[in-house]
Amino acid sequence: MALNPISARVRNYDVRQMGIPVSSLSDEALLAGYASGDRELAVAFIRRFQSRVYGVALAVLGDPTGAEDVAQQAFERAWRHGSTYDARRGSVGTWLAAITRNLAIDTTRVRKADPIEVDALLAALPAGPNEPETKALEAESSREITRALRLLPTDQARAIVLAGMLGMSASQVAAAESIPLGTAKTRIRTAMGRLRSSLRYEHLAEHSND
Amino acid sequence: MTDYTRSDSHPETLAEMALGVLDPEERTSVLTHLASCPACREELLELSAVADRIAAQAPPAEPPAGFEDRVLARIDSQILGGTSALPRNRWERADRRTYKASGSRRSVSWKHLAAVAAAAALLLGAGAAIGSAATGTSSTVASDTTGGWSASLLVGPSGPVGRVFFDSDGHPWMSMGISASQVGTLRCELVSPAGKVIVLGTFQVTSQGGYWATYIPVSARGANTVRLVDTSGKMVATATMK
Repeated sequence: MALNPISARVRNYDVRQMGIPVSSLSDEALLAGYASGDRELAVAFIRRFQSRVYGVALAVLGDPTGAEDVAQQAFERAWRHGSTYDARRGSVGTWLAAITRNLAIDTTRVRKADPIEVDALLAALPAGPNEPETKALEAESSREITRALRLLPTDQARAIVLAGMLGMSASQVAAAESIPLGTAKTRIRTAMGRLRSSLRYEHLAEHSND
Repeated sequence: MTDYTRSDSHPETLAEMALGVLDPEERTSVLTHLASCPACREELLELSAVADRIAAQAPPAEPPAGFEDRVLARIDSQILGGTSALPRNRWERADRRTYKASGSRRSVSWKHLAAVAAAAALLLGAGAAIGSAATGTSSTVASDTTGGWSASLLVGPSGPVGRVFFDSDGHPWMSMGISASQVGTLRCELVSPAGKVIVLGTFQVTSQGGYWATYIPVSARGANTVRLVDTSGKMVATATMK
């Protein structure tokens, strides 16, 4: 990752003055600083998450201008509602992704189907978040969900990518895949049930090793 | 609950609801059902957690240059335009704070950053960053009577091992730094004078030390003792908040 010019600009102040780089602060601490109104920590927070937030918006909207507007709205919402973040429900990155997805879906209900894009998204899955700031815990969480997605039959995985990442409704999935609406609904429901079971199993397995 | 083949009496669209892709009419129907069905509410919560993790798997993409400036400008306009329900001084501009921090008017964000800075300083062994250096005889090392923050020593069996900073302004929160003498996973608990224990969460202490911050839930109001407990249940440090 390129050198963050902000770090140099604020190095003479407070946390930075003592040699603690902003990048070493946890996601939760950065969010607290952002939501409480600290401008330097806000810049660091936005820079840490902007590619993930923008990526979620772009996946749903498929339009860079619309995606930027939604990404901005998502950061504004995170600033307003930072105090409602609950670490027990997921990482800061996941929380931001959910905010962004919901805003993006509300923005457009007429997303065009692009089957090639679905294949590309499925192929890109194993990578997961790989930025230096990404916490080990979040990386593990990412591996769990991608592993679970890869265990799904292809038609169900496609339905989940279309609905879960591109924000398509069941009828849009049906049109994109040239299948009946009932089949699309069944694929989404069955796949979500399997993912939930897989993740629950991973969670139990993880704790049985404690 | 684990069976996703549901009976007719329960909606089959909870997965679509969790993914946020259900059309408004169907959503209304599901919401009506949820009002009287705890099992479906629980299932929706679980499916929503899955849906959120799926959304987070979208490939990252760099936004156009200057994105963060536009986000900050957007938030500035919310505050200055008076459309925000938040206090206007919530967003403290860096330049103003840098030059006025030593004055009588300390902003909330200044206090927050001071707490973070002090906790961070501890990790480097820089000693007390706020107020006078602690001697170990008094657990509270500094406080700000005009605001809501205070700093206390985290004391282990053989002496001080870190500090905890508490800010009661707005949404109360606390941050703490602990030395590398307690490497491993620590659970943070708040204890009320009546003995009620509220678990706030866990964090890792590495060979570089540990730093953690969290909001304090309403249920923990009145609690005045912070406890850090290791995975075996042994209390490794405690601090008393003013």
